[in-house]
This record gives sequence, structure tokens and C-alpha cells, in this order.
Amino acid sequence: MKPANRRLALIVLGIVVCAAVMARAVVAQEKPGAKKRPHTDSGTPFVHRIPLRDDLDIVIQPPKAGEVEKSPKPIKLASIANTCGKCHDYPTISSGWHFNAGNPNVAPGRPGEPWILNDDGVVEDLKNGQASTRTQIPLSYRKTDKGWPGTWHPSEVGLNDWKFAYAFGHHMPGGGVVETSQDQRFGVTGVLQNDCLICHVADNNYDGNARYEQIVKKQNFKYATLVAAGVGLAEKSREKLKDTWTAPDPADPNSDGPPEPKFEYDLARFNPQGHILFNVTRRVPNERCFFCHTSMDTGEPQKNDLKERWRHDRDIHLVKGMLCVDCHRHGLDHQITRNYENEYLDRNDPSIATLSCTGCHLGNKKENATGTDLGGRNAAPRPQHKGLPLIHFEKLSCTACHSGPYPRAQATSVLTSMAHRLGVESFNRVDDAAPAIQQPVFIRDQETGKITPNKVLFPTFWARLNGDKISPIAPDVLNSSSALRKLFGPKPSNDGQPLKPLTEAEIIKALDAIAAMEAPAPKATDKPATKPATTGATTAPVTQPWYTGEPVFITGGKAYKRANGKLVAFEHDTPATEAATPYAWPLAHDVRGAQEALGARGCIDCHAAGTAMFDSKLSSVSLLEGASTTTSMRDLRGEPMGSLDAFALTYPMRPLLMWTGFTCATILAMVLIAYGGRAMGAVGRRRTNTTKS
Amino acid sequence: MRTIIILIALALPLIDAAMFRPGRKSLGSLRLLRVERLVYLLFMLAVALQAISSFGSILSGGRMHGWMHGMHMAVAGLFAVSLTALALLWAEQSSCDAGPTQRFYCGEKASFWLTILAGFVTLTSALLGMMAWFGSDGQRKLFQIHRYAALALVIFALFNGYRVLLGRPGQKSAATASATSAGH
Repeated sequence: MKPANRRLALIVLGIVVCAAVMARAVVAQEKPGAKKRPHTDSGTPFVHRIPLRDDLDIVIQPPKAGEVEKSPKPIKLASIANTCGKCHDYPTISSGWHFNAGNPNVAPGRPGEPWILNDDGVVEDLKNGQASTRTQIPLSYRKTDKGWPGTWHPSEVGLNDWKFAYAFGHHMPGGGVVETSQDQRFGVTGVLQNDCLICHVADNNYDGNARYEQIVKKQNFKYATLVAAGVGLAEKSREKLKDTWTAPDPADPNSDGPPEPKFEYDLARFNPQGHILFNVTRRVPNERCFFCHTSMDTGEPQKNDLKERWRHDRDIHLVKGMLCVDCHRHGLDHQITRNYENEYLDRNDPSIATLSCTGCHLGNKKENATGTDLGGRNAAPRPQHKGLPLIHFEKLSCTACHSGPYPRAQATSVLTSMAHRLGVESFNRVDDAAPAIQQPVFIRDQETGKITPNKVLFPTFWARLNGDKISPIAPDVLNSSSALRKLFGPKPSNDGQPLKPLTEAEIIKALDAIAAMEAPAPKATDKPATKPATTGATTAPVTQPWYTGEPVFITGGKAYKRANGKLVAFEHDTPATEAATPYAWPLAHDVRGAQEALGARGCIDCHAAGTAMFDSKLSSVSLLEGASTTTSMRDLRGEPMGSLDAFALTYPMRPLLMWTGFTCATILAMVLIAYGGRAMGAVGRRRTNTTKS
Repeated sequence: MRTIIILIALALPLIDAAMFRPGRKSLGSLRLLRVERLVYLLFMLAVALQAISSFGSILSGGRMHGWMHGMHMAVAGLFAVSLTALALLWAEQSSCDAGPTQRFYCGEKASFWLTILAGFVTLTSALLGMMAWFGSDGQRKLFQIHRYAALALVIFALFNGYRVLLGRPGQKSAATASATSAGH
């Protein structure tokens, strides 16, 4: 090639490369992820007087006054995803901690409160009702090889995403797996969209009870948010609609089948522009958090302490005027901090290191710390811990002395929103309602090794043992057996009650009936009730292991099977006994101040015989009649206690030791002063003599 | 670590002064009264047990806890009493102007007083830590003081113990010399 041609070719090539780079930049700017959104960037909340948007992101125009009677055209259903998503990055928000449990790529972090599947959590058989199977299985999508050991993944129990949403959606903010799942039944009920309003409504006008009604009583998942937020009403139910139901097309005269239950807007909520005012706030009020995170200590069982809860003090942080979100923070991604000690390591985010008890009150303990690393966030006082030997900070979490109810001789019952549907009205709920959760239980944190107070649940469920694999059987599967229905009896009509234990004979009969259960033959004409779930892991297994293998009953920390017509417990260290291990998750609230902390009365709060830290009792709450046992905290931890016991025995002699010590120290000080003075005098004299000579 | 080095640096000249440049004047062998022997042995036993339970635990890769911690606390009383008794027994004879009654070399006196001083600091820092007067920061400082004072105590007590119990430098040669003169 001639030099002139070569130059020309290079110039052309350069132009082509530049054009390609610029085109790429333009395309990148226009991609949907880079959508521009308005923002006010002020501490003053933006007034959310906004139009509703439907699932096609089209603004919904309510009929003007008088138009309703003239043309009763249905108004399209509002989509929270699009209404809020107009200005807020809905996909990013939906990756937050409250929504991402079904994402296996998210680090599970420290074990937390599970969802507890019981007889109230399954769709009731319209013909036969639901039997009282006594099931209490801790579930979590965060269950992995390393995460949340002791829980069961919903798929292991045969729960698909829809069943999970039905069981627990009433206290979930939606989003994630219950929004994106392809389970067939979602086609009937709608999905549970990420419900921004459940948290962000500022005026307590979000009706959690109405949400519960729409999800559990009416299966109107798609209406739950709007009804709860008072945007409208939905009276009819989808409960009886089959999985294969599709809404008939009103424009098609030939389409038949039951009509879709209506959602009727409260037109009074719209202003003349067709906008609705949502009183929302960035700083979520505590009362919104409490809908799902109330933890009500009810004292000792059968003492009816629930009525005495007015005597309880609140968390000291709240008493001082703080909000839950002052500590439990997040950015747009809604990765809310859980604020346990090593969370910043789990999340690989040093910026949240001071969002923990120690971080906030003591700082990050880094050399040359500045700013928030110094501690004292939100004016957190620096604790003095006068007279407390430092070893306690290595052995105990902050919560051991400061959190939960003041420990008593026995761990006490606790009702939680997620387990006992607090926030939903009940005429019957009692202080020892099932599932029986107890607190505070002082066991060691797996990660830090520190003694930490926990809530504990002893699982109770029926299962099959195939080889070394235990497969819990869900209550609805058990309910399919008429023999079991007869044996168990119907679920009590009174909700919120403790469970009645079964006798040994009843359990043996139930295990016999389970052994006789056969997998239902698939009907050739039926469509599968469950499509592959979007998470890829939530679908019920193809083979149903609860129809094969040894029938097992797990309760009170033990696993039982039949042997020669009797009920026998499994030996220790078998898969069955491992499945019976109680599930524990650390508690952190309510925080008690220094004067109410353990140790405020001195060392003997713990270092004496019969103290809560070592000798408080935990009941196994067995549902085998007469099999409940109690275990002390020291036995639960399984640690050698001889040295600590011996140490505790010396405490009565401590004043003597102190007096002796101080007397000796005083004598030593006098000797040192006296002879030190003499020595100095001698040195002085020697110097004088030297000078004279 | 710096403190340890400083302490060793302090100890070495003492050892040097007493061991390798002994007896500018010979004091003869040290004869201990029964009560002195008892108190001194109890003191050395207490120091040894305290050191094993604390530094021993650290040197074996762990930290003081469980039975070792119990032992440390249990022996603390014996340590305090024996240290005080020792101070009262030997303070006069270890003073700089002990005159004709003196029984100790200068290095022994120095190590005695350093032992008493380190013991006093060790004892006081432990006692203050048990009172509800100091917060965590104060406790941390007291703990550090206790640790290093105890380390110094062990070093000085070891030297003192060696000299008092096992013999003095130059004593052998003095004994040999006296035997030789007796033979003549």
C-alpha cells in the first residue's frame, strides 16, 4: 500500500472507532436502568399527592363527580410498583433485605426469626376443614448449607412460593419471591408486590388487619396493599376460584366462568386532579415496624401476664425518642442494617461497622478514628461499666445483660408478630399461644462465641426418614389423610391457644396412618399446580419424600418412631435428633438501661448459685404428653462449669479478700514511703558529706 | 512489648551488678530464720502459682480462664499476705543504711525493693479493678499496669529468689578459700 493510501486508511479507521465509541456512550445513556427520576433532596418530606398508575404504567383517571352513574366503567387496578416506581427505583428497592430472602446469592447473615408453619398457615380444605396436626416448623428461604441452620427451606416442606405467600404474606412486605414467582396460583390471586406503604405510611392509617383479610380470608393478594392503605375495598373472595381460572374478558360475550372479584375505589380519596394524598415518610415510624416486629413478653405460661403488659417498659432507645430506623438504616437499595456485632464483615461493608451496640456506644476502636468511628452516634452515651472486669466483654454480648425481659428462674413465653399474627385482631389469643417461643435463652453465638440471649422454638412436626434425610410433612399433606383428620381432630376454632399434647397411643396411631399414606395419583387432565418457580429452588420436589420411609414424630427436642408397638426416641446424633434440635435466634430488644441490666446489683447477679445466666430453665414444650423436660442454660451450652461454680462459691469471701488486700496494700505503701524516705535522706546525707570532704 | 524490653533492660544490670561483680566485701552465707524461710517460701510459691496461672496460660497459647483463673484468684490472698510479711521482715535489713546488721548485697537489696514495689503495684491495680470506681477505660489501664507490674515482679522475684535460696556469686570461692585456709 502506498504511504498516502495507508494514511487515508488509518484516518478512516480512526473515524470508525470514534463513531463506535460515541454510539456506545449514547446507547448507554439511553438504557432503561439509567432512568432519570425527580428528587427533592430536602429534609422536608415531599408531599405525595400523586396519580395512581396501572400495571401498564398508565395514569389512572378516576371518574369525575356524576360520571360514575352515567358510565360505570371499571377503573383499572393501581400498581404500587408503577405508582411508586415513577419516582423511586423500584427494582433497586426490591433487592433490599426485606425482599431478597429468595435470592440465594444474598449472604444470609446471622440467623434471624423464622417463619413458623403451623395449621393456620395452610389453605383450609373447604370440605373437611384443617386437622390439628400440631405442626410448628421453622422455615426460611435463607436456609442454605451455611445459613440459618435449624430452619427448613420452604421447598423441603413442599411449600411452593404461593403457599408460602399465603401462609406468611400477611406479615410480609411483599416483593422478591412472592412477586416474581411463576407459581400458577399467583395467576388467580395476583402477586404480592413490594408494598412500600406497609412501612412508609406515616399516619398509622395503613390497616394491617385489612391486609390480612385480603390475603388469608379472600386470597385477593393483588388488592391487599390498596385495601390496607384505604384506597378502596374488595368484598368478594378468590378462595373458591380454581388454579386454572382466568378472568373472563368483559368484551367477549362468549367468555364464561366466575367473574373476578371487584376492587372498588374510594373515590373520596381522589382530589379534583385525580390524585391521591399518601402521607408517607422516609423516617418510618416505629409503629409501622411493630406490625411485623412486635415481641411481646408474656411472662410465665398460664399466669395471664399478657394483660399485665402495661407494666412493661419500652426499649430505652425508643423511650429516649429514637426511631427504629435511626439505627436500622439503609440507602435506596433498602439493605437495612440488622446491627449485630459482625454484620459489617458479613456484608463486607466497613461503613456500617459503627451501626451496632459497641460501634455506636464505643466507636470503631480504630487507631486515629474520626467521625462516626469515634462512636457516640445519635449522642449514644459511652458506657462506664464501672467495676466490670474486661473479660466480660469477651465472654458476653452486650445484649446478654441489656436485652430482653429481665431474666427469671425460667425462660418466659413470648408472642411475636410473625409467629402469632400480632396486629391481627383475635378474641382468643392467650399468653402461651402456640407456637411456644421462649426467651431469654443464654447460648453462645456461633460466630463470636459470646453468650447471647436468644429466642428459642422447639420444632414439632411429622416427618419421614429416608436414609439419613428427614422430610417434614406439611399440615395440608397430613390433612389429606382421613385417618389422620379423625385422629387429630379439627383445628380449634379459637385461635391463639396453646396446643394440646398427644398421648403415646395417639402418636403411634398417627405414625401408623402416616405410614399408610400414599402419594395421590396425578390426574392426566390436570395442569400442574406449580410451575417452576423463578428462584429455581422453591418448587416442591418432583418426588414426594413424605410418602416413603420411616414415619417420625419430632417434638420437644426429641425424635420418635415406632418399635414393636411402642414409641421410642431416636439415639443421639442421628439425622432425626438433629432435626429436633431447637431453633434459636438472637434477641436484641427491648434494651434495658444500666440500672436494669444484669450485673447492676453486682457480681452475684450471675456469679452465685441459681442465677439466670446459668441456671434459668428452658422447657422443651413437648407435645408428647408428660414428656416435657427442663434444661438449664448451663446444660444447654454444654460447657464445663466446675471452675465457675467454684469461683462463684468464693464470692461470700470476697469482702474478706478485699479487706485483706487493702490492709496489705496500705502496710506496703507505708513501708515503701518510710524506707523510701530514709533512702532519700541517706542519699542526701552522703551527698552533703561528699561535698564537705 | 516495649515495656517488657525496658523491664529486662532494668533487670540485666542488676543481675550483672550482683552476679559478676560480687562481694566487694564478703557477707558470708545467708542464714534464714525459720519464720523467714516460711514466709519467703510461701511468697515464692504464691508468685510461682500466680505466674503459672497467668503467664503460663498466655505462653501456652491461650488466656487465663476457668480453673487457672480460679487458682489465680485463690492464691491472690496468700500472695498479698506473704508479700507484706516479707516486706516487714526484711525492710530494715534491706535499707541503704542498714549498718553492721546488714545481710544483703546491694543487688539483693535493690531486687528486694523492686519486688516489693512491683508487688505493691500488682496488688493495688488488681484491688482497684475489683472496685466499682473505674470504668472500662480505667479497667483497661489497670489491667495493663497489673500485667506489666506482675511481669516485673516475676523477674525481680526470680533474681532475688535465686540469690536467697540457691546461693550468692562468689560464695563458692569464699567457701573454698576458707577451706583452704583451714587446711593450712
